Amino acid sequence: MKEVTCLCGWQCRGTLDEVVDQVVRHGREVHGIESTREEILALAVDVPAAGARPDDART
Amino acid sequence: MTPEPDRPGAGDPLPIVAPIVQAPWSADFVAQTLEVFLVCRPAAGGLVNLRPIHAPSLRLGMAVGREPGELVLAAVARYELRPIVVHSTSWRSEPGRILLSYVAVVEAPASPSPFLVAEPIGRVDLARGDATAAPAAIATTQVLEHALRHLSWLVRDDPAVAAALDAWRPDLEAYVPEPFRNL
Repeated sequence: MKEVTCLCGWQCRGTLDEVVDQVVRHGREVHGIESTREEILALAVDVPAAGARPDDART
Repeated sequence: MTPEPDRPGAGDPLPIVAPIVQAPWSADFVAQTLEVFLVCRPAAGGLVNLRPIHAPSLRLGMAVGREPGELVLAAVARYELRPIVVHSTSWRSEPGRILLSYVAVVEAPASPSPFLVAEPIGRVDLARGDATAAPAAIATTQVLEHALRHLSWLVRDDPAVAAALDAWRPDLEAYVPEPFRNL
């Protein structure tokens, strides 16, 4: 699974294609910029799949 | 004391044969996210949180194997800010991830990034849990309050932080925790 964080704080997660689609739409609709697939791939981070949970933690 | 022969481990003060957790170790299991609070001190006075315009705090996915401090510095650089102190200050769990919070003290920018909003930092109560349990809910403002109390301690205890934040002392004085308030 991939994750991208925009400079504005917005985040998205999903498969590579899902993330590319969401980032392109976010950039266009919120910031008025166009992003290429290559630019998005350079920013995307591998993250664990949804559902993976730590067994225990505390603050 | 003589161990009972028919009971394995009997007599051991702390048997360690049983696993503490059932989950296997796996890179996929260790969900990690960085939370970064960009804090500055404008010439006009007071402390300011440079918050991303579309989120309560800046969160960054952290791939396994990456050094968190380097990622924080990279984020600071992306906003064209100059770091003064970077310090990990707390962590908490959220469904599916461990959130590691950093405070990044930065020089007050002459012209802030359009992706950041400068919010004056007010005081809030800390989130409190039980003696053996985390708080049920933790707001980002409470994480930031904790971070500034942490800096208030570091500016007294850590020579590097003390030197870097000498001008911040008057602002951080107010963040000294009330000792044993909830005990």
